[in-house]
Amino acid sequence: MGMQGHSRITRRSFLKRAAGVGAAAAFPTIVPSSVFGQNAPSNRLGIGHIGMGLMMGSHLNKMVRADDAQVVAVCDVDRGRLEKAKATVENGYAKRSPSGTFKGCGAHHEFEELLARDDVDVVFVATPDHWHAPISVMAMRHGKDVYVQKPMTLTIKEGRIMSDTARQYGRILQVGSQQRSERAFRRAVQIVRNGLIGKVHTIYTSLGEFPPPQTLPEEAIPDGFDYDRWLGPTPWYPYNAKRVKGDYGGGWRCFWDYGARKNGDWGAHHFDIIQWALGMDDSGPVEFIPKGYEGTEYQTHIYADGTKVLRNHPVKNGQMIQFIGEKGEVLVSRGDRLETTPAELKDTDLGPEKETLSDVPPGYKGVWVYVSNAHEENFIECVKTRKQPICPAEIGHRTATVCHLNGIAERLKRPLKWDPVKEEIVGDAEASRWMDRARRAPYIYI
Amino acid sequence: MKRYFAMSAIGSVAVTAVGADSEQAVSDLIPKLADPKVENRYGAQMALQEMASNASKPGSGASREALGKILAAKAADGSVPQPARVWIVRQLENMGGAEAVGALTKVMNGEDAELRECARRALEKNSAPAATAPLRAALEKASDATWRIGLMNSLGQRGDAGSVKLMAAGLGDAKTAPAAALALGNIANAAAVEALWSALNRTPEAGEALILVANQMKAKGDAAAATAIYERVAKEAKSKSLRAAAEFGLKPPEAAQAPAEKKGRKKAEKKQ
Repeated sequence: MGMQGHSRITRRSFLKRAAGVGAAAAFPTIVPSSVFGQNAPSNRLGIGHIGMGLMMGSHLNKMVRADDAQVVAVCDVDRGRLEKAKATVENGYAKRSPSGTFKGCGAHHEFEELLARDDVDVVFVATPDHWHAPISVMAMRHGKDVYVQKPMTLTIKEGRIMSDTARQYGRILQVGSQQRSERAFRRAVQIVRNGLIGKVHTIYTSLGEFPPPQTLPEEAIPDGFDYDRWLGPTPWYPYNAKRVKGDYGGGWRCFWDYGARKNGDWGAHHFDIIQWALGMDDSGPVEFIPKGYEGTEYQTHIYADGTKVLRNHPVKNGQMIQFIGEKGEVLVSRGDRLETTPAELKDTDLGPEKETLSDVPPGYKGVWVYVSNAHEENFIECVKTRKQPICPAEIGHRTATVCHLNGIAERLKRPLKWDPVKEEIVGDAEASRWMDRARRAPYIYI
Repeated sequence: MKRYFAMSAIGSVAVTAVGADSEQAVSDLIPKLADPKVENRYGAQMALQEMASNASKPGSGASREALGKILAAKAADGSVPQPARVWIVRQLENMGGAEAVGALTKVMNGEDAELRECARRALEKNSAPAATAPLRAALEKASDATWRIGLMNSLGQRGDAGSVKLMAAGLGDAKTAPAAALALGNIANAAAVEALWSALNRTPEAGEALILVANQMKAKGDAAAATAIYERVAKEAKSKSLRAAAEFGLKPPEAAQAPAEKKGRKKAEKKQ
C-alpha cells in the first residue's frame, strides 16, 4: 500500500507527445462538408471532449450530430472509455459520410495534449468535479471556450479564478446547469422575479442523500486506467472501484475529496435555480446552518433579507423546489412540471418565449429573465456571437459557492457566516481554510 | 474548561476534544485508525475529524493548540502505525498551527512518501509564519521534479518572497517551469516579476503569471506598475491569448468586456 511513484508526465512534457501526434494536430481529418449540409469546414467549430464518463454521453452525441461543429478529439484517463468514445465519434460521422467510413478523431490520454491542438476551438469538460477548474482554466488560457459540467468547481477560490479567467481571456464559458434552459424552471423564476407571489420568505428543495463515504480496501488498478491522473490534485488513496465509479447514486460523488456530495451534485441544480429566482446571481446567502446543529431539522441557508432555503424539507406534490411567498407559491420540477397558488399564475403572460433571447426586448416592462430553450445550443450560439450564455462562469461560481459553503458547514458541523461581497467566511479560521485545498503534485495548474 | 463530545458513526467511541482526556482519546483511536480491515477505520476517522473540528471552533484558540500539540506528537511518532499518522496529518492540514510545525517538518523530511506529501500540504495550509521556512529548506535540497513542483506550489501559496531565487531556477527546468511560474505569480514581488520576464516566451505559464501579478497590483491600487506589465505582455508575448488578456487588463473597468472575435477556421477541406 502507498503512493505510486510520481514519475508521471508533467504537463509540459506533453510537448514531446504533441510532436508525436503532430501529424494529427497539423493536418486534422476534416469530415466532408456534405455531412454537414451547408457548413464548410471553415465555418465549423472544432470540439474536444474531456472526461468520457456518465455525463459526457449526451454532449458527445449532440456534437457529433451538429451541423456546425466537428468533434476532433476526445480525452479520458481510461483507455477503454477513450477507445469507445473515439469509435462513437467515428461511427457517427461514418454513417453520414458518402463513403460510409470515417477515421480521424483524436484520442488523448492527457487533456494537455488535447488543449494544445489548434483545431480545437471549444472543449466540453465532464470529468469529476475536482478536475473541472484546472482543465477549464488551462483551456481558456489556451484560447478555447468551455462548456463545463456542474458544479463548476471543487473550491470557492477555484470559482473566482475561473470567472476572472473567462473575463480576462475573453472566453465564453457555460456551466452545465441545464435547468436554466428548461421552460418550467424559467417560468418559475419569471413568476418569482416579477413579484407575482409577493416577497419570497421560504424555499424548500429536495436534494436527496448519498450514503456516507467509506474507507475502502485496496484493489488492483484495472489495466489501462491511469488512477494517479484520475486522482489528480486530490489526496492519495489506494485504488478501489467504488471510489472512482461514476454513479448517480454514489460512487465518487460520495467523497468530499472530489465534490460537495449532494450539496454539489443536486445543489448545483436547485440552488442555482433559487439564486436565479431571487436575483442573487452576483451574490449569495449570508448564513449556512447544517442539519443537526442545535436541533436544526433541515440544512438551511439564509439570505440577507431573511429568505430561508431548507434542504430536504418535504416539498408539496413531490416537486423539486417550492417557493413560498407572501401572496402565493410556485412549485417546479423537471419534466415541465409547474404549479402555482393561485393556479392561474402559471399561465400569466410574461413575455416572449419562442426564441433564445439574452437581450431585453424593447418596451419590455417586467423583470427580464434570460430565455434559453436548449443549453448546449445556447452555448454554441454564444461561442459564435460572443454574447454571454445563460449560465456563465460568474453565475456558476456563485452557485457553486452556495454548494461548497453548505458542504463546509456540514463537514464542520457548525454554522458559517458568509460575506458575499468580500467573498469571505466571517470569523472562522478553520472553515476559511476550506475556501481552497492544498493540491497533490504534479497535478498543480492553478 | 468546556468539553466537546463527538460520537463516531461506527464503534460508538466517545471522545473529548479538550483537556486531559484528549491525549487518551487520541491514543484510543489510533489502533482503530490502523485497523487491518480497512473498512473498519471509518468510524475512528470521523471521530478524530470531529474532535479536530470541535477543538478549532471560533474562539477555541487554546483548545485548538492543545489538540494540535497532541496530534503533532502522534504524527511524528514512528511507532504510531502509518495509516493513523496519515489521518492525523490530514487533520493538522485542517487546523494545525505553530505547535505542529516542528512535527510536520520531521514528517515531511521522513522516508514515507505518502506521509511526506501529506505533511507538505499540512505545512502549506498551516496558519503560522514559521511553516514557510521548512518548505523552503526542503526545496533547496529537493531533486525529484514532482516533489519540487509540490514544494514550489506550497511556497507560492504562502507568498514566500524568500523562495524567489529557487523558483527562478525552477523556470529553467521544463518539468518544473509551469509550477515555478505559477508560484512566482502568487508571490508577485519585483524579483518574481523580473524572473518571469526572463521566461515569457519560453514558458507559457510565465506570461499567465505576469497577468496574475498585474491583476494583483491593479487590485491593490498600483495602477502604474500593473499597466507597465500589461503593456509589455501585450507587446512581447507570442501567444494571442496572452496578448488579449493583457489588453483586457489595460481597459478601464467599465470598458472591460469580453473582446469580440470571429469564430471560424481557415483550414483546407481534406477529401475523404
